Amino acid sequence: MATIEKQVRMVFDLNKCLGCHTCTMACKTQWTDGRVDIPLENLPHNPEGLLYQYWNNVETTYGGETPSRGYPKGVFTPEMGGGFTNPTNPDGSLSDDHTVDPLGPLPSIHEDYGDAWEYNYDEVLKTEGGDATASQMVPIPAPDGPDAYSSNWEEDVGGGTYPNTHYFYLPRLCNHCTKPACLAACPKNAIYKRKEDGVVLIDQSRCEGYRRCVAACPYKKIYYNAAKKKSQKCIFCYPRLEQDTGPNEFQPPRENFCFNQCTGRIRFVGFDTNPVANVNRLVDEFGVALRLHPEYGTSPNLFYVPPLSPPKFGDNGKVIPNSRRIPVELLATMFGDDASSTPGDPSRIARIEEIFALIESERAIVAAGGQSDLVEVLVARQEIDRLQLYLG
Amino acid sequence: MKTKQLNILKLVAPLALAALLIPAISNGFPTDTNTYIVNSVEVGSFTFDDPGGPANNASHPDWATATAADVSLAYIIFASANAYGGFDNWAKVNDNAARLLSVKSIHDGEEILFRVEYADATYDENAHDTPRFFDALALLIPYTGVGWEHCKAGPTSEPLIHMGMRCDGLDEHGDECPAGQENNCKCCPTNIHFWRPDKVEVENIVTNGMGTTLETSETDDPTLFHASQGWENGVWTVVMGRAMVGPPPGEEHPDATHVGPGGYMVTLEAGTSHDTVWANWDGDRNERNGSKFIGLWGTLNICTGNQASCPPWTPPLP
Repeated sequence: MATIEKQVRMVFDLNKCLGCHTCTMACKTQWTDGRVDIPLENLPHNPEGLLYQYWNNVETTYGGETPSRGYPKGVFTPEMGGGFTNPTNPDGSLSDDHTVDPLGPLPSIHEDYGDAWEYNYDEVLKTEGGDATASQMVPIPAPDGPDAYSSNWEEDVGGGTYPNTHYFYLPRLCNHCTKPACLAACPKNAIYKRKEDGVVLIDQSRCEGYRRCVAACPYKKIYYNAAKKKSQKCIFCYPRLEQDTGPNEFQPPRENFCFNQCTGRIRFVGFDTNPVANVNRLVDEFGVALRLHPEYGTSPNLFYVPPLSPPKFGDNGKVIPNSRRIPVELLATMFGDDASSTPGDPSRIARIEEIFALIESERAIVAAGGQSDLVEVLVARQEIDRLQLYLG
Repeated sequence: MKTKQLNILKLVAPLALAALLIPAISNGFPTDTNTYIVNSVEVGSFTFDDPGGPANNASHPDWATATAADVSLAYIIFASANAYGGFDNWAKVNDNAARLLSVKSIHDGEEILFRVEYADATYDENAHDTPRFFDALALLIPYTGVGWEHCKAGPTSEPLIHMGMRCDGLDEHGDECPAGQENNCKCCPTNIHFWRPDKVEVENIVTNGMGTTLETSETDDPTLFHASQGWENGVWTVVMGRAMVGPPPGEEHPDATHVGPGGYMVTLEAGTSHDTVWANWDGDRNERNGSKFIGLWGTLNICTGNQASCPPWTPPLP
């Protein structure tokens, strides 16, 4: 794969995600709402094909008899395809017989992503002069019919059986993988990793909209702009990254907007080459962050601290000791260290339990009045503790 | 009307564009057994903009004077080399089925038309959703003008995307190529005339060697290219037209990546024969770029008169 100087790395602490979607709206208003025409290379600025795209989205995730479907619908089902078959050797290197697996269907904008909508702001919000004509904010056009869907269609729905229902929020964006299946799949070589930071971009001047990348990405984080007939994706706000300083000359360079705007302070970002950056401490030193579906073989650079959850209640209404409302088995189907781990494998369950035990023990230390580096890092009291691209 | 002496040319150049690789031929070069003949018979003068003429009326009497050729296409997957993954599993559906184009051609010495009729169960004229792709047709005609005999042929091991590259360091005028650009000297262009239903036009794609697909400037000149189309009851009928002779060379290269409208158009003159390849994409089957049906080499005879004037079928010289 491409030789890069350093790689952006991300960690999301799922114990802190509120599901507020501020990150989603940050990205949407910055790049994909179609109302901002920024004539920069690789930036889409055609509103019609952009509006349905959520480069960042937050999925309510749950298991049970009818598990969550994700975004787009069925994203992590085997039928959706993508990633590499025979991805890696035991040491993690790309195996000689790996191939891109693009056998899955291409998601439909209407049925699987959901058509874009706008809100009737002008009717509801009182503007200069005139009266609001409607009392309620509604989407226009309203998603309707049996195939209706959207990026947060199953918001707060939950799985399981009362009183032990569960869900957690899963914010997602392009993982800017070390071994991007999208890059491997493109017959035009239109996709590349930036040498200076490993950000994966689609050269819009080369892209012909073949959508091999859309099929190949197992996370379905490449979108097809039907108006421009180009494939598009998260650009990691690279124009912000390239500024020497923030708005105030004394401020460090800007980071990507969805990270900057996160109200829950769940997002950590830094470069993989700097061991003191908290992303690397969380992944490598403390070992509490895992990859999402690493079995796809793309080596994603977005890691998640899996979500702890309260214990279950038994039939007698009493707490079941040593239980967790969010099934660890569910988490083990999603999170792992690398491509060698199998979804749901006991080793993954053990790994997640190990993470939980560490976090809980460190929290107990702090609760007892002690100090914990891990807890201090996870709390992230200041922005500069979690937004650390400036460290280089 | 232009009339030239009949001239059967043996093409040894690597004529297969990467996107039109023919797997049944070991190296993509024309064989001694071109599999079909399209005889373009000469008819009375017509224009592209005549709504009732043969350019826009697939049932015009002029079409009855030409004999249809059956062009058989087979499925192929081809893409430029990518070190990270194979493309073999891109076939969406059964790829053993053959596809048949029925092709006729007529000309009036100034413009030439190709009438293509083929079965397609669905009408795919937009890509308004992620899983939607266009129906499309393409006709490849290699350059056979001055210097063609120097067009790079290469051994069977030669990379097939060296279409039309010249190996003697001279350009199409016989002048030396600029230093360091010998392999990119543009002397052997290959034309691909591409139709897609949403555009209702023929797009002229020009290639001159590895990695040299050139974008053709749009033109308001209605006499250079033409398309008309109709889909009914599972059958596409498409008429693709072009001027038989393109613009003069001075208008061809606005810059290194573009040709002028009609630039590097292969000259089609009455009394000449050309090897051709057809390709077809069915949008409903997610066919696009290197995933398509293509035919084997065939012969296009630009006849000097009616069907009787067309040359008998003679295989190219060894």
